[in-house]
Amino acid sequence: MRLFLFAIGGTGSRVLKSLLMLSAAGVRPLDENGKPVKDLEIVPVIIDPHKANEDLKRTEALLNDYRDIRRKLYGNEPNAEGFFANRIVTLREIMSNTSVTLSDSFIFNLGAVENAKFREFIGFDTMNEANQALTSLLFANYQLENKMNIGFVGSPNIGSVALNEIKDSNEFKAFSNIFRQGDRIFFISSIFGGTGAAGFPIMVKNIRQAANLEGIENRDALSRAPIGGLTVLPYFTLEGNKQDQRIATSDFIVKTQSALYYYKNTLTGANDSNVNSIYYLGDQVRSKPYLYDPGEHGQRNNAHLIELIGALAPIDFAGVPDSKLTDPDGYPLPTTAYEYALAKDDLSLNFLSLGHHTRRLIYEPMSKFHLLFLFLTTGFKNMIGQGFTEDAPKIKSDFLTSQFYRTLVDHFLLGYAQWLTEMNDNMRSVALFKPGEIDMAHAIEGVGVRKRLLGHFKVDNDVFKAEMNKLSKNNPAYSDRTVEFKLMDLFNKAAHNIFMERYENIN
Amino acid sequence: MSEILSYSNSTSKNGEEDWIAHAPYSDDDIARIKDPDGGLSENPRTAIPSPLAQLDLVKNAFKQLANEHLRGARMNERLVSNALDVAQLFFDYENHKDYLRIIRWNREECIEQLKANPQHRLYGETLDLFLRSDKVYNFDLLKDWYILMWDRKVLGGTSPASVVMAAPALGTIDAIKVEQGVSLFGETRHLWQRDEDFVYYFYLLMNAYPTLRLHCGEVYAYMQKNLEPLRQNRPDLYNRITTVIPNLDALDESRAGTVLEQLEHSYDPFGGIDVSVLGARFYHKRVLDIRTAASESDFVITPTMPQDKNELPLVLVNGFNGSVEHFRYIDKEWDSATQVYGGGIPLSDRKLPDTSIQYPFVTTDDFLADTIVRLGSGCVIDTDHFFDGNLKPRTPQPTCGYLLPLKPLLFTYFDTDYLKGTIAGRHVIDIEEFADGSVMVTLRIRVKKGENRYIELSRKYFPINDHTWTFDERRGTGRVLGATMSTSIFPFVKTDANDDYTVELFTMIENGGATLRFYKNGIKTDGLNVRDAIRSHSGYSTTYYDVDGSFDYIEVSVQNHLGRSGGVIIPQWKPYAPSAKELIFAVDFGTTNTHVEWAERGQPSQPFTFEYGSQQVLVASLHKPHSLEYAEQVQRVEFVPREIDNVYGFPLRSTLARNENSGMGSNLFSDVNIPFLYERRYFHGYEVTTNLKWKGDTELAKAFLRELTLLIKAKALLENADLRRTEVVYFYPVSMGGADRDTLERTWTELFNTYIGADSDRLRSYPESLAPAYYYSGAEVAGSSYVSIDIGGGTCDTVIYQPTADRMSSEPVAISSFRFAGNALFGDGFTDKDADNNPLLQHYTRYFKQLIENNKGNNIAYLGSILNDIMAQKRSEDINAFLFSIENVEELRTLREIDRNLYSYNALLRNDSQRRLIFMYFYAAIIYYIAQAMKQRDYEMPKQIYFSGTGSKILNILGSMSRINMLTQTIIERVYGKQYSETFEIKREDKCPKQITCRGGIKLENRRLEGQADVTRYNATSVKRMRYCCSMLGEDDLTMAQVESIEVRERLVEKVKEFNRFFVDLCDATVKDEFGIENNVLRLFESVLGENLANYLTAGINTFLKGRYNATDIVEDVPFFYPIIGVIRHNLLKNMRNDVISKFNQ
Repeated sequence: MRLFLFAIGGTGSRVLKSLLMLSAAGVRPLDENGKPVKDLEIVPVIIDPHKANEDLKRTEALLNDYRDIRRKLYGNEPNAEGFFANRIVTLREIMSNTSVTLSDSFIFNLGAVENAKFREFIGFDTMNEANQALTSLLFANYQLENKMNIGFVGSPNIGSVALNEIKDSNEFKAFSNIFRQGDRIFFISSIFGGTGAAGFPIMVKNIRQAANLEGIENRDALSRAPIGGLTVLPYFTLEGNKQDQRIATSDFIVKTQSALYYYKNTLTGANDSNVNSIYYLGDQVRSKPYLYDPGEHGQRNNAHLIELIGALAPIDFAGVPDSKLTDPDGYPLPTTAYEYALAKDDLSLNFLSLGHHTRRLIYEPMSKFHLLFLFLTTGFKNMIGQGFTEDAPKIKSDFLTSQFYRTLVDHFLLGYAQWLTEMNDNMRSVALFKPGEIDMAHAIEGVGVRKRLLGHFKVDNDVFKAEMNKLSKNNPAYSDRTVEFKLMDLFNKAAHNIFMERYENIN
Repeated sequence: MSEILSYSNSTSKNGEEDWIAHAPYSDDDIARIKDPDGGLSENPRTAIPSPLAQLDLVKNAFKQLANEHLRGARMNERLVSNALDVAQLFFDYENHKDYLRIIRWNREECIEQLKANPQHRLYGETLDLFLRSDKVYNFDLLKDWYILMWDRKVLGGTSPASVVMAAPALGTIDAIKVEQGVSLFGETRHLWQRDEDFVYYFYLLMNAYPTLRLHCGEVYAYMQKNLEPLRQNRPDLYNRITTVIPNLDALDESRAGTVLEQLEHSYDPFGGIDVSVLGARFYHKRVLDIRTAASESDFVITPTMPQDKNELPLVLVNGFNGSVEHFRYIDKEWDSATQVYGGGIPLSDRKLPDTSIQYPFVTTDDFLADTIVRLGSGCVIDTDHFFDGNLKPRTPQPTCGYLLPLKPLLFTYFDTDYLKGTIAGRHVIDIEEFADGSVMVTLRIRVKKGENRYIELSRKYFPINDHTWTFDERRGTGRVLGATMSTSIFPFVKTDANDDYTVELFTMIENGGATLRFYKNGIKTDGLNVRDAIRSHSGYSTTYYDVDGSFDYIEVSVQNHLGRSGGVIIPQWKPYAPSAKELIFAVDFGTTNTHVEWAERGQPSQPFTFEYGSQQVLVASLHKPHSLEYAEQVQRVEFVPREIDNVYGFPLRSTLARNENSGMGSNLFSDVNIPFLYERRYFHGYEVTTNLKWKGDTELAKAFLRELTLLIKAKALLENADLRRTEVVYFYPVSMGGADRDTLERTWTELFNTYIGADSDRLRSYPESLAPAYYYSGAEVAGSSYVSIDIGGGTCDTVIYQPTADRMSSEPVAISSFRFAGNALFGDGFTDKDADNNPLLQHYTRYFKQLIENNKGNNIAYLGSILNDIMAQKRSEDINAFLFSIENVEELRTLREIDRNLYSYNALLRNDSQRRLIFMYFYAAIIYYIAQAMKQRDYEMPKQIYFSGTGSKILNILGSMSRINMLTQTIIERVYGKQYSETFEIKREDKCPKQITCRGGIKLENRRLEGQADVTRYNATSVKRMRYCCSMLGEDDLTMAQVESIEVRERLVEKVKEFNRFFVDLCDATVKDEFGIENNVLRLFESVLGENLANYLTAGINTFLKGRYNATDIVEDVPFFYPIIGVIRHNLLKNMRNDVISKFNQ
């Protein structure tokens, strides 16, 4: 099953980043039996006309890193266990590079739009009087003067026109042509911003009305496709809440409400049930104020709990059985909505604050990944030439300078640490791991190591080294695998054991 | 805080964690979302990802507001209010259609057009996508969209989702008023708070088309919530609606037809573009209703002037408290916050403030000028004759006056009576002064609201001495501008029939001036024939306006270094009540002096005087008497004095004054005028023309007579006489040639017809000579012989009366007029301007100069100045005339006679023993001639001789009456060669001999009117027949050719010599003794008497006759006197003086 994941706007990028982190940790969609969903390919498409968006850039970089790392670990194998388990691919990859016009980037290309004002974009000046009049009735003048490259700031109604260009793009055509019955579509967007709020319904409308589109195959499959959407409600505050700023916090709720009505009326309502699942997510506890900067420097917001939880939505959607989405004839069932409940209403969250299901889903993978992070950044270097590194295939000291290692440690794990810190510093604070704590025994917030007869179990690099040595010794399973796989898989398994043996069980 | 990471409060955890499935958010769930920012958001910003988002916003806003309190987020309140504003614009479209347009957007056409063009394709496809998919907005029913445009700006339009909608993000548009005081998109107002008709219409519309209620349920839900406040606050309107739709909650489709009928009955559908939503037609208010409503406003002006326009303007003003006064504006009470400005837009193009109704209105700036002219130099308004605007001065007594700062437009609505009056016990206009120099002007304009209801317009004026100042209507304050000026109106009486005025404008404005325009109530100057001309222009300036017709007010335009301004002068005309009084005026236009008398028919004559008072007067000036001395002085000098009495009055010198160095124009007042001050007050800057009668300058004579005519007319009007029955009698000297007399008659006729009336039968002329006899004639002379002698300045006119055959009465038989009169003694003989060589004047001017210089107590120094001025002209007769007049000046009149005699030229000459003989000689010549003439025709010796004319004052110089009687009697007896058998008597008027002609003329006219006098014999033909110029040569008449012949001239000289001898004989011992003539004087007299007689005769002929007569013409003069004139001037006056006499003695 392919899950086409349209991440729209700044919120889309940030949620996608959290999804990357979860995927790196090895969090996988589970079916109704709790088994990982088989043959899953996640095809993220970032839709954001604002290339300068810092969040988008960071996410794009991490996505490429993720792809490189996973390819090294698992090749093109869709099913994998452990770190970087989810296969994430681009449209171009799927199209087997046949379509040269497709960009390999995850950014949806809205190139033609970038520097144009909306009025130029729609050719306002050359319309006849009646069409001009109607346009002026629908759009405020400042909206007509809006430049299209700053994320349709605050004006999703502009976005709804601009983003409709997607349907004419090669990317959309590629998507629609490779879409097969059984694949699913998921949208990530915020409801109170510009691009996200607009992109979601316009995409849904085009998909459902695929019959009217030209040059599109699989119209039938498309028009009946299971569609899920994460609708992110307000959760952050902007600094300097001035009226002249086009994205003003004071407008968030009003905008949210009107958009929600619109969604209700055209996407989720009884008459127009166009999406199968909708995930509402937001937080009335507001983030620390974000700097509002729609200009050249772009929006760069700290990672937030909502994005972490939001990343769970597509994972959840991917695991929902078909029977809950479509009727026996393959037509969408009325929309199911979801809201997310915490176990505890904390302002500083650890794993214990999360619900049981979530904990089971992410606690162990994330903890193991965090221990990997500590291991690789504090102890691993000194282990080369000893124990498990000497077992075939050998991990030599040149491994430390390999593309893989540098990508993983210098880029991805750095991004991970930053992500963690940002979430920790934010409001609500996500304190899953103690910031700066390199003592593995005390690194997981709210979770201690088990007691022994005398004192507590010890967890440190040596413990991991010993465990990995034990698992590596005389293990033929790695002989035909790469050193990269061997290292990661060894650590994963060792971590599992240590986790089970030495840490308190909170699941 | 919630454990649910969401905003909805509907999902309860119920022990569940992680993703909890539930139904999608319902409307209620969404509505319950709390806004931590508390609805701070005001600007509608759409987060609705649809190009048609605006529709949703509006539709939702209606829904949000459909609660008991009609409250919601400010954004929603605004969206709804703006949408209703647009609905109201549609409804009131007739009012806005001059600048609004409705554009129709047809779905099928317009989408196709968009899709067909690559530039618009995406947009068109997107619109199409949404229009096809979003059923919730009734797009499935959408065919056309109607959009309101203002110029190139879209204001709003219909909406398939909410009936109407406004365009997004529009701020307040003050230029468009939704209704009174409400700018488009200016304030948030609910439906129930709006224009009554609109509310009524909107409920009807929604119920006439059930489809609207069905598909735009949010809008109707909101309307339902409006019903309660409507019922509570506007019960009448509520009832009006429920009368048509009893149950506004129920959707009664069967009733829709009835409601639609009612809708169509009250309102009109749109023509051409048929505006509709979801198949429901819109309607609009009828034009007629709008204009009718405006014209029924309480503010409609109630003019006193008839109006030819149907639409009377409203009178509106800032700050008027309509709610206290309960003034209805258009359809509601006036809102005191409404700003009112004319903005310089023509009345008919104006829109009523706070509305978009094009309907005229007037406000402060239309009626009150931006500048008020404060009259300078202490010019206080003469409130007896001019309206001062009910000035409330800051001091107990006013120190200045103001021109009324009223604009012309005001007078198209109100007459001056209204302005001068009161309304509801208050002045219509008030002017109040404040200590800081500012002035408040308040004007009360009556309006339709009711009797005695008015709108008060006021403006404060501040002294601003800054030429860059400009008036700003929004600031509203005006400027006080000082200007020294005044006007005088002559005559100050208004009859509204055939009125003529001369108006003097006096200004003393540096670098500027003023002009006047005259208006009759409501009528422009077009109806008035006005000529104006500037006269004086030095430190002050005068302009004279000849206004042909009556006027009610004067518009003044003032220009000075600060700019142009103006004002209005309103005369307080007194009621004029004509009576049946018939007046007779007699005008004696003499060579030196002129006199006018008047009488009521059947009554004795009275002096022609004018008194000044608070009622109708000869002339009234804007300034109070004595408040602007300079203007007063100028008025007296070059215009008309306030009072004409016997000091500054008649008889007066026959003169005209003109400005020094001015041209030679002869227009009355603008060039010349009768100087009432001449010889009585010193005035400089003017020169005086005398000898008007004989100068041959008919234009000047005409100007003189014109002023007299105007004075006569003024007198008649001031006496409330019947102008049509007013008579004017004038006199002509019989010596006046036919052509001259014709000219005089033409002049009089023209003046009479122009100013008095076209009935020239009431203009009568008599020979000068005849009138005096009527003054004297009494029972004792009836049926006897007598003579009347009028000695003027230039001529002596005599009439000889002889008894009729039955001796029951006497009749004139001979009239003669000859140039031997005052000027023979006091003039320059045959030359002009020869005073320097006049020994008599040399002597007496020196005397008077010293006398005046030495006089300290009587303030008569000015007489010295006058004397100098007159002497500078070198005309002996003028100088002499002045010397005679000195004793009558105001300062000397009250002196005892003995003191006054020092100033009496008359008395001085009487006591001048050296020159007395000259006067006797003069007198004797006249009597000698009369006696010779009578004897020539065998007339009976006269029993009486009547004297009249200024020249008859010579009798005073001669001595006592008994002596003159004796002298006269002796002369006649000696000529006739026989003694009187009965008493001979001379009759004269020693105080006012000049007046006798007029008085006699009036007596004659009175008698004529009573049928007691047959004046036919006084007509020109009869008089000509009586003409008798005795040549002294035996034949009665001499032709010009004869006079010029040497033979005749020699005979004439001989006749003069004969007279001289006669006179010397006359001066026998008795006479010498009686008249106190010394021997040496007589001897000197005798020795010089006969010199140069022939030369004098020639000079006389050349001067008086040459050029006037053809050779065969009868000379209508007595050349016999010419040598005598020469003798007096050159022989006698030159020698009869102390130095010569004393030498002669030696």
